[in-house]
Amino acid sequence: MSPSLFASLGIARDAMAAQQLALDVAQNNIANVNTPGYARQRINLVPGDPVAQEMYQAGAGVKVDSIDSYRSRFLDHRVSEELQRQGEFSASSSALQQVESLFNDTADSGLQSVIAAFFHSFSSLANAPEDVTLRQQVLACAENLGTQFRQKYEALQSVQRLLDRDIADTVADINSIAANIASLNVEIITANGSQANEGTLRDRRQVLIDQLAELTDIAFYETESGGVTIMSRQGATLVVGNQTTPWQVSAATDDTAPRVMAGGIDITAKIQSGKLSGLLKVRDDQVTGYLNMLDDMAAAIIGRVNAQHVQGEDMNGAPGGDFFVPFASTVPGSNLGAARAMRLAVTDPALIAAAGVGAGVGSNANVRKLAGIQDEPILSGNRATIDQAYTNLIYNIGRDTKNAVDGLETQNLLMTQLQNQRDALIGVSLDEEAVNILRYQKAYQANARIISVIDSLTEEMIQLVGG
Amino acid sequence: MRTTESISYRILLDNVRMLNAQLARASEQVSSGKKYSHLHEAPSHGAEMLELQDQLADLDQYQSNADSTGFFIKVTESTLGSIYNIVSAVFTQGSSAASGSNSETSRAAFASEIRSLRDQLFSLANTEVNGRYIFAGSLVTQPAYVMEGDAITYQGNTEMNTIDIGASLQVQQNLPGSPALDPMFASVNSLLSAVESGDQTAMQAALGQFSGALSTINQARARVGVDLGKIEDAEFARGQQQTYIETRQSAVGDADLSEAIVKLNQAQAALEAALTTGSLIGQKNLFDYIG
Repeated sequence: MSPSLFASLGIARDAMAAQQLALDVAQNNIANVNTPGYARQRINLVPGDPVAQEMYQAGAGVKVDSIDSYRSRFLDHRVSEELQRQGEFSASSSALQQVESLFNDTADSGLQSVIAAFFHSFSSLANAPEDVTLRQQVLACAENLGTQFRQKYEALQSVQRLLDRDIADTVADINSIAANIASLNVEIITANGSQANEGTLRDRRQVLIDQLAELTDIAFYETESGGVTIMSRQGATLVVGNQTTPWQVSAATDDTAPRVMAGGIDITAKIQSGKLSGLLKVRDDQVTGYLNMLDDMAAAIIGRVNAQHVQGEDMNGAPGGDFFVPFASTVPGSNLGAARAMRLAVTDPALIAAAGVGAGVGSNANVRKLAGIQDEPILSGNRATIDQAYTNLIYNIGRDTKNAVDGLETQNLLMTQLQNQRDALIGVSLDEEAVNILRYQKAYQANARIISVIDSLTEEMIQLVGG
Repeated sequence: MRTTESISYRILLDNVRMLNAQLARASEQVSSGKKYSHLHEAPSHGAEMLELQDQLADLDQYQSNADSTGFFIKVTESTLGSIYNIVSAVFTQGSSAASGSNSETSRAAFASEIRSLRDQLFSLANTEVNGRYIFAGSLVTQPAYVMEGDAITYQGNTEMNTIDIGASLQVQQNLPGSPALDPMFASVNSLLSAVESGDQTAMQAALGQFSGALSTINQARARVGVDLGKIEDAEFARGQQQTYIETRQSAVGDADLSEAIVKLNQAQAALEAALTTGSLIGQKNLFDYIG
């Protein structure tokens, strides 16, 4: 049996429809050239099923097999992993730069110059221990020292409070994104097999997964039904199909850190990267560490100055009392709260015990020793002076910030490379689409021409029959 | 690698961001003259700058101590010099009075002169600087000596104040009067008493004590002189230290301006080039040629 002209017409019609659909795909790609997360689509055309003929087998035209999105699971996972690190470095570098700005000491300002001024005021008093003006200067410097310690401490605590808010907001964002992913899971499972629509939904879900990766560490995999399961790398579940496990944040106070909870379980320690991890690490490890260093310094100054002060005599010839209000720690083995508690016990300049015992009002025997405390190794297990401990604190802040800033810079470069790699696969190229349009347009025109030819042949046949 | 418009724009954006950061950094260096504006740019340099600032502040304090105590010691030295001269004058007057040819009237005149000189010595021994009696030990708020009749009594103590004028470098700020001036008052009062009574033997005995008294004063002057020398030496050393620290501060903290300006120009040129190149992205594609 030889093929009929009408069958040829059908083949041309189907071919035109296929080219039309291909043009639609190209047009959709062009429309989404700047859509974040959009993966370009391609139409897969396959030859129609062959039709048996008497001697030969002619093809049955073309048919659309599928419309696919270009996605690479490997690259999607790599991007997700690196986004988590980028999110962590971004959060920590931003928070630490706030801390850094609090400790940008110059020659005339900053805690170090105030500490120096305090001990130098003792040294000045040693020149004329009976001078009331110099005694008042000692009290003013001591007052300023306490104020500076409190201000630095409270400034660090205010950074922690900002981080607390950011942690709560981030957890809220995580929950919101997780809920959206769960909704998309449902849509994808429902649309399974409906080709283009499913691809678009997957693109949208991948964008959300990328957003989630920036916020917290996640591992994800796709189930056979098309839904994704997302959990933290340490196993705290976030999304399973259409279900989410919302995370909560326990309220923080000045002395207690916020905890991230999932289903009533504390998962804070399980969060290892992403913005949330960066915020938690800066708050709980780094800033808390700086606060501890300030507390240790303040406690050492209070304790050592008081210990020396009681060994002298004041202007009235009476034994010296405490210079600072003694600090009693409420937490064994810790100096928590010392920096906030640094206050003067002596308010009358005459009660500064500058003199040695029984040595008279002009003696500087004790005040000279008070001045010398600045050079005594009374911190870090009696290995560091107060200045060295403060320099160490400043160095630690600079080093931590540098690590975060450098880490972010490296991560940004890595992310650019990865995103470029992914875009090389999924991104839309206008030139390619122009070529595709040209191709499909020509094919469409050719098939239209075939219809025209068949039409004229049919016309000729009709005339022959009619003639 | 397949290239898309989004890749080209991302690379452009990254380059522009990086060049803008370089431009800002170079511009900050040129305008501030400082190598680093933020601690994280060089944490160890930041820590070193703090240490250097701390050392400079210590040097300032040592300078202040040296100025303050130096003035005190100079007054002490000058007072001791005056005391030495007056005691020498008393000795001269006493020697003249002790010569056998003096009439009663002239001996009385010598006695009056010696008394007057003794009173000057008493006044000098109670020299006050900024409200502090310099020979009173640490009992600086009361005169070092009191006089009842002709009896002169030391009411200070022997405490000496040490002042730090450098790292591990100290001077004694004060000179308690008792060991240095008591022998002098004893000698002068013995001589005065002997001249007034016309007792030649007592006069000779009193004059014999003067060499010891003068020697004691000279020893005190020598000790004070050593401390003044220490202060001068320390000032010189401090000046050198300060220069070293400031040089180091400059090396650690100051920007190399010519290098910073070159970097600024390079960053500007690179940024312009990147922007010019970027403006070409997407300007032409195949659609321009499809009819």
